[in-house]
Formats: sequence, structure tokens, C-alpha cells
Amino acid sequence: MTHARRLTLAHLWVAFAAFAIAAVLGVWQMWARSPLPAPYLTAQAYFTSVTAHGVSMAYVLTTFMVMGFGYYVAETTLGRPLPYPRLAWLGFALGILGTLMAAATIFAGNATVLFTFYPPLTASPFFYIGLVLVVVGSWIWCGLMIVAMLDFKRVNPGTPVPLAMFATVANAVMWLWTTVGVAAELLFQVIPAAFGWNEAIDVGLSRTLFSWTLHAIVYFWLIPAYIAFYTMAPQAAGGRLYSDTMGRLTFILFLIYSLPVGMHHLFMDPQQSSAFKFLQMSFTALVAAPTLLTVFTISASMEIAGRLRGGKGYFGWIAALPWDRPMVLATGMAFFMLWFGGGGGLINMSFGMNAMVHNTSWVTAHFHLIFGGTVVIMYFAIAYAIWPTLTGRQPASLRHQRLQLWLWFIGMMVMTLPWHYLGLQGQWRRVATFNYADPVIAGWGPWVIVSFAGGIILLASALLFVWNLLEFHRDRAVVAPEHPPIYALAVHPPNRVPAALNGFALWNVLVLVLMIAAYGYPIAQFFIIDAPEAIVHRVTGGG
Amino acid sequence: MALAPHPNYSAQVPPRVDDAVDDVALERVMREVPSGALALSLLTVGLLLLAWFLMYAFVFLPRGMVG
Amino acid sequence: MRADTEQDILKTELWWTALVTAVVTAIMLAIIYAGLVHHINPPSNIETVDPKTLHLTGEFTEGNLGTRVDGSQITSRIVATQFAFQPQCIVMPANRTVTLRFATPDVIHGILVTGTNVNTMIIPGYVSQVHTVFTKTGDLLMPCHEFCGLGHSQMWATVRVVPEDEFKPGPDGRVTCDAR
Ligand code: HEM
Ligand SMILES: [Cu+2]
Ligand SMILES: [Cu+2]
Repeated sequence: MTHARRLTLAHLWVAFAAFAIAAVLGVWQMWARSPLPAPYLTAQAYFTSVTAHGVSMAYVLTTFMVMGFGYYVAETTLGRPLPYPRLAWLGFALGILGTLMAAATIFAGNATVLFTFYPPLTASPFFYIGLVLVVVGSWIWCGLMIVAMLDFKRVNPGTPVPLAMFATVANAVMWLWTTVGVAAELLFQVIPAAFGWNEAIDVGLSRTLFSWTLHAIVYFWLIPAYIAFYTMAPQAAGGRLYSDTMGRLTFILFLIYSLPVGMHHLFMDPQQSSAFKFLQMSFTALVAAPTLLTVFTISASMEIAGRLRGGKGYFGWIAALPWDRPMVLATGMAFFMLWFGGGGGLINMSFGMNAMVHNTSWVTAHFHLIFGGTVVIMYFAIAYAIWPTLTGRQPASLRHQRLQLWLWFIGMMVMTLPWHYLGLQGQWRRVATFNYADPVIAGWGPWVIVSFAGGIILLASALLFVWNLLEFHRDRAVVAPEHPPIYALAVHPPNRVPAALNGFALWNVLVLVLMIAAYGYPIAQFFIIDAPEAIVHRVTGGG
Repeated sequence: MALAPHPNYSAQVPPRVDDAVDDVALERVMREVPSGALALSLLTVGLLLLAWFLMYAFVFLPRGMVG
Repeated sequence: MRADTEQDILKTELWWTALVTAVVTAIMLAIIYAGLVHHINPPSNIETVDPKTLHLTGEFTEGNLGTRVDGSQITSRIVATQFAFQPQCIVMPANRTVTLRFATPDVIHGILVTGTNVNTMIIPGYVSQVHTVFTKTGDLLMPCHEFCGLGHSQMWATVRVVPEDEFKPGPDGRVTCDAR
């Protein structure tokens, strides 16, 4: 096995181990919030669990998945050995060390601040240092991806960077920009407060800095799914990518517009003006564009496959697709969930309309659908597609893989549809127990139980997924073809592409300009108005 | 450790130019693509817009003024 | 539609982009309409208050909390602390424009009022202000909706919306839940 393959395998196993543990915690949380009596339930246990679930799903699963998949893409699309593999292992080690540090503090009860850690509540400093180490590990990955692309361009002047790699580097560049906000918040505000060097903290500033990171980070998690849509799904379906150019444009649009929009998470905050909220809402509307473009481009790519297989008419090509292949099945389900999750997102971003849903179960439903649903189901599909090339083995039948995907899809719909409804009724998030004796809340009970059932189906799917991965390592598995085709060709494969569609120098300038416009004054205002500071509240010591 | 490149990888250098797709068949289906994709995307985005406006008009606006 | 070259394909994509732009524009226009005509906007008053002296001086001292009528202005002032609201219950008249003002001396909280568009974060250092009109009478639930510590799940208050003619301020202009 090459170095990159070993790296990929190590990263992906860490990602999915964290995922499996977090899934168990998630189901227990559903139980706790329901009218049914749950075991071990205390406020301390619940918020420890939600912190661990949020951190594992949002930070550990995603970061390790993005990194592991990135190494795979770099090696397989560029056809060159990965540069500086030792540094890649250093990044991995930092990630592991950071994860263990954060996990130890969480489970010791010293970090019940949830994965968003809004000050002035502060955890033990080791929680934050753990998270910083994970981020530093991912920065190494960013550097390696950029170097790998530049090396490729130097050796192959004029050759387009393959789309999957182009997208991976777009993500790396975006992630470097993204982490600036939270890094500033942690290094200048939160960590000094956690160590006790500061007794007061400017909370308006810290929320604004965190919002810088908060939207773009979800695109960091999402891009592997989009890479699979553009470069893997058309191949799996037996077709071609409709347009390589549109793929490039989509990833560039993500880089540009996922950053100056984070303030849509602060619509209900008193410390920012309507003017900047409106400006960032407008940019948010623009970031809907790459997703809607993707819907069309990927539909067209699948249509090619369906028609090649004999599908006719406006919709006959859909039935003609090879739905028995996990990648195709997952793509269909991912788009189905995207309709609900994206629709919910359109409502969230709609300025005043955010008041209807802010901090209710509607939001929890929205991000479980789009992130836990659309994105994670594609993580599964990617794992199923590349694992045979990592271990050289694959199970004789894909039945269990299909079953696992179906369970995930059904579980996610059953869990999130009632959550949306409950959110509209006013059920709020992040609560250990509801007072079901209250007449308003009593009516929610049956719906909470339905969504709990969805959670149980999801857990079954999560465990089957791990089982399915183990199948690839079993002796009884059959030998996999050594170099299966993974990436799709485009209908018109690019021979040459303009420099702007083959690199990021120009786009970085644009990002800088937009970020100054969107965040310059909103950050500067805290130094101009001399905002009052809040007293630091430490949760350290299990209290 | 020197690593051998993987000559069969799809997006290889020079880019892979063959797959299981037959050129003649592709040319034939490309006369109809993307009519189906347009139909599907129009339908789904149309329904999306409709759902948004239903929520806007029947849930959001009746809940009244704030600000 | 032709697809002989990448340019042909991009032309098709351009049409789709135009349609997507139209959809997004329609949504934006509806949002602007809701803001300008129905006055539904996010709470954004950027008004600072020092959390350290909140309960000692000024508007948010204990005696000044709750609903108060001042001329035609009906304002309720509420302090959110770990893990209770002060007061736990406020009275509001139906069908009148009212103002809710919130502040906190400790950590981040937030509120929503079930079945309405009332929703704001409460950030230490700032006053959160929401103008609204309640149309349904009865007891509405006003929970703290942002995690504020281990007691967060037990933190809620009641908004008692009464018919306009039952809303009778005392001589000091105050209306409380106990008095009724
Ligand atoms: C077995 C499947 C899952 C179940 C049953 C589940 C359940 C839950 C529950 C009950 C909460 C707490 C809600 C609250 O207290 O307001 C939660 C929060 C969360 N979940 Fe999941 N979840 C699952 C899978 C996922 C996946 C796959 C992801 C993302 C990859 C995810 C990401 C999150 C995040 C980021 C939070 C927010 C934590 C916070 O509010 O601080 N979950 N989940
Ligand atoms: Cu966002
Ligand atoms: Cu709270």
C-alpha cells in the first residue's frame, strides 16, 4: 500500500469511529428529550453528551474525512506521490492528540459548553487547546494539498488540474480563510480567559468572530459530498459529467461566497446592525446559486447515464439508472434530503423570517438533514467506493451497503420531519428535559417519540455501516479489481482551461475584498463603541 | 520510498480519454440531454419556491410584526 | 439545445443560472416587503449596557422590572440570569404595540415566545429590544433558548396576554401577574 493509502485508511477509521460513538450518544439524547424515562439522565450527563456528540460529528468526523479523502484524491488524480508524507503523518498525530485531549476534558465534565463554546461560559483550557491542535493538523493538510497541486502544475504546464483535485484545493484554501475567525477568537479571547489571565471578555466580538467561521465551516464539511456528485456519481451511473467548467465554477463560488455570509447566524443578535445583516443575507442568497447549479448539472449528468441505458422521455431516464449501485443510490437520496434541508435553509436565511425558527428544533432538523443526511450519506458512498482500493478486498454482495443507505435515509426523514414541526411550535434546542406537565409542551410528546424512533433507525444504520467497513478487511471478502475507474470523464474533457479556472490566486483577492466589506466594520465597531465586557464564567470542575 | 504512479487511474496524466461510454451512443443521447434534467430541476426548484411562499404567507406573516 | 461543444453546454447553463437568479430575487423581494410593509425585522439596536452594574443602577434595577405603562408606551423590562427570568411572568395587552427589553448580568441567553415571531438573543453587554403586537390572549411560554449552563432546561417565563380592556395599570403605571 502506498503512503497516501495508509494515510487515507488511518484518517477514515478515526472519522468513522468518532461517528459511531457520537451516534450512540445522539440516540440517548433523543431518549432524554422524550417523555419516556431515560437512564443516567442528569443535566451534567446530557450536556456532556451533547458536547461530545457535536464535537465528534462536526469536528472529528468531518475534519478527518476531509483530510483522508483529500490525500486519496491527490494521489489518485495527480498520478504523483504525495509530497512530504511525514508532514501528513504529523498532521494526523496532532489531530489525534487534540481529539484525545478534548475528549478527556469533555468526559471529565470540564467542558459542558457545547461545540460552539460561546463565552463568557468557558471550559477547561485543554478543551480549546485540543480543538486548536486538530485545526493546526488540518492546516498542514491544507498546505500539502496546495503544494501537491502546484507541483503538478509545474511538471505538467498547461494541463488542467483534474476537477476532483481542483475542488479539494478550493476546500483547502477556503478552510485557511475560514479558520481565521475562530482562531482569533480562541487565541486572543477564549484561551486567555480559560487560563484565568482575563476575568472579562467582549462577547459581541467573540460571537462575530465565531460567525466568520460558522458558515464556511459547513461548506468545508460539504465539499467532499460535492466532489462525489461531480466526479464519482456520473462514473458510477455509467455516464459522463455534463460540464467540467460548471464544476470548477461551482467550487470557486463556494470559496468566494461561503465566507462573507456568517452573520446570518447573528440575525437575532442585538450587537450587529440591520444594514450588515442585510448585506450578508444578500451574499447568502448568492451562495444558494452554486447548489442550484449543481442540482442541474448533476441531473444532466445522470440523465446521460439513464438515456445511455435506454431511458426515454422527460423522466424515464430516472428509472433507468442503476439504483443498485451504492454511489448512485446515495446520490439520489442525498438530493432528496437536500430538497428539504435546502428549503429549510432558505427559510433560515430569510432575514426577519429567521425569528420564526431561530434556536428551535427546526434548526436542529435543518442541519441534521443537510449535514447528517446529504453530506454524511455521501461520506458513506465515498467510503464504499474507495475502500476496495485501500484493502484490495470487497464483499461479494452489495446488499448490506444498500440496506445501510436505506436505513440512514428513512431514519433521517423520520427523525427530522417531526423536528421541523416541533420547531415551528416553539420547541427550543439544547434542552435536557422538557416539562411535559406544561399544557403547551404536553402536545409535543407524541412527535418527540416519533423522531426518537427515527434516531433508533439511524443508530442501526450507523452500526451496520461500521460492520460493512469491517467486511472490506475480512479474509472471506473477494479480491477487488486493482484500479477500478472512480472518476468520471466530462462530455467534453478539458484540454486547456483559463488560468482563472485552474488556480486560486485571483479568487483570493476577491475573497479578501469581500471579507473587508462584510466584516471590516462589524469587527471594528467593538473597538470604536468601547463595548462593555462580560464576566467570565468557568464551568471547570464539574460544576 | 519512490511510489509508482497508477497508470489506470481515470483522471490520469494525460487525462484518461476512454471509459465504458460509446461515442456514437453518447452523441445520440446528447441530442436529448438536458431536457430531462431541465424538467426535473424546474419541477423541484418550482416546488421549493412554492413551499417557501406557503411558509411565508401562511405561517410567517400571520405571526405578526417584530423588530 | 445543442451540446456539440463546451460553449453550447455553458449557454444552457446560463439559462438555468438566469432562472435561479430569478427565484432568489423573488425571495429577496418578499423579504424586503415583509421588512418594510409588515415591519418584521431582526432585533438590531446595538445599545450597550454594563453587565457588571446592571442590577445596581439604571433601567434594569429590580424595582423597575416587569410591565409599565408610560403615556402611550407599554414596555416590559426583563433580566435573564442563570437560571431564571426576572420577573417570571409578565402581563401584556392584546392588539397593542408593546416593547420588550432584555438584558443579562452573566452569560448569553435568548428568548422566543411560542407561536409568535418574538425571538432575540440576550448578549451580556447589550440591551435586546423587540417591538411586537400580541394578537392571541392566554399564557404563552417564553423559554430561554440558548444554552446558558446546566440549569438551562429549567429556565422559562410566561407572557400573559390579556384582552385590552382587562389591562389596567396601577397608579404607578405598573401591571404584574400577581395583581390579577
Ligand atoms: C444516530 C444519529 C443521530 C441522532 C439520533 C442525533 C441526535 C441528536 C440530538 C438529540 C441532538 C441534541 C439536540 C438538542 O439538544 O437540541 C443532536 C445535536 C447535534 N447533532 Fe446529532 N444526531 C445524529 C447524527 C448526527 C450526525 C450524523 C451529525 C453530523 C454529522 C450530527 C450533528 C449534530 C450537531 C452538530 C448537534 C448540535 C449540538 C449542539 O446543539 O451543541 N448528528 N443530535
Ligand atoms: Cu451558515
Ligand atoms: Cu438558557
